[in-house]
Amino acid sequence: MKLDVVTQEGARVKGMDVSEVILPGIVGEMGILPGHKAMIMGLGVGPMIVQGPSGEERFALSGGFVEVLDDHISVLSETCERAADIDIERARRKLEEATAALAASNPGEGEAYNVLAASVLKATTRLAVAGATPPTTH
Amino acid sequence: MPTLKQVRRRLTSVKNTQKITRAMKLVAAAKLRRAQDNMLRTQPYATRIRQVIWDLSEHTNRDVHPLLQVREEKKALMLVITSDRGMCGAFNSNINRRAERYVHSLEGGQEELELALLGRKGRDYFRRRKVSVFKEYMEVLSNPTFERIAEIGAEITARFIDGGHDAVYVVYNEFKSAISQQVVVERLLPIVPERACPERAEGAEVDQGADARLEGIEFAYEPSRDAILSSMLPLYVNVRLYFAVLESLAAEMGARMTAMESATKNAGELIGRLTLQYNKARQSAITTEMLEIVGGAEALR
Repeated sequence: MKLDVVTQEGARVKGMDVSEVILPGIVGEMGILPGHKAMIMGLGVGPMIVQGPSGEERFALSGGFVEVLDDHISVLSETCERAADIDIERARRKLEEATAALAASNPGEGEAYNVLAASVLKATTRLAVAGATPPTTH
Repeated sequence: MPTLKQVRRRLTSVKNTQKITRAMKLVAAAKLRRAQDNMLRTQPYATRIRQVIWDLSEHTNRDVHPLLQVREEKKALMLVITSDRGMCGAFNSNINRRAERYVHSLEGGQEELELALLGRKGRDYFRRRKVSVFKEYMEVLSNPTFERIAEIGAEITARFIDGGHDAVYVVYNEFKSAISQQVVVERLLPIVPERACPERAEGAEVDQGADARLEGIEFAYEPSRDAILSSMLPLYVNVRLYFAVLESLAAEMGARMTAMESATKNAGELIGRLTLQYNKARQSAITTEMLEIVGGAEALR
């Protein structure tokens, strides 16, 4: 199968040969193997795990969707960070900030609350993808 | 006739100005390339998301999502994208005048129109004019990240959803080529996906291929068609906004490059004229001096 990932900052993955991709769907994780039927799936925030030519690779995705058609997987996401490119310190800081802000707000605030919850989730995902443990405050 | 010294001083000053305009032209050219690269990088993403929105929304009820709902346009918002710096010809005044005309004539048939200003030049222009300004977004253009634009998008979208504005327009300079920009007014909200949209016509070749590719294929939607559409719509707004900012930045650099190019050329012409004037003045000074010497020598005889 071929895998493409585009973000608003350009193509992140281009025509990578993959044998399996696990994606963070809105409704839950979904694995895609060769011969998968045509599908469009909304993506949430979470890790994408790819079995590529050089073994397993992990990426942090946030939002977007994936289209699977004729063994071609094309992902469009807001961000896609390769595990090696993630700045663990920055992600940790971000997580602490977001967690604190989230604790100080209440769910009644609607959109603002959701945005904060999403940034906590994003930071946690990035740490998980980078293989670092989240700080104990979480 | 100015004196030799005056002409020389003027000549030096024009030469210095020319050096500055030439340097600014080169800087603008370099920045233009970067801005164009940014646009090219984002283009596949923007095209892809637009494609999917259109495919998904074609047979969808407009009540599915608030961003699709067309209301009577009583109060609208117009986001005016200008630049932070000047020295770019009519770039900013074109935009500002277009927006001002729109506000005063209300040509879209709205009862009231508020402005949101992105870029220092727009703020400076409208500060002294009688228009209602909803919000000023400064410090964006120097570092236009998607995150920052998305914040603005979220604010505008929230205001649209709670009924504060019934429609949102964007006025910006569209990047046609390095030497030409065009002021465009686009509707950002509500989202009206149209097959026959002019934007689509541009990429028609690519898109037709995509349509043929999708012909007769049953897609599975996870979780559902409407849910995917709903989650993509706010993103689509941000992407369009982001792309408009990138286009405006590229157009700004193009305009500045052209303006500085012609300023350099004008300075060149002026230098030519002043040099001629300088040489003439010098020549006549020499002639006068010689005549004086000759006259003096004659008198001694």
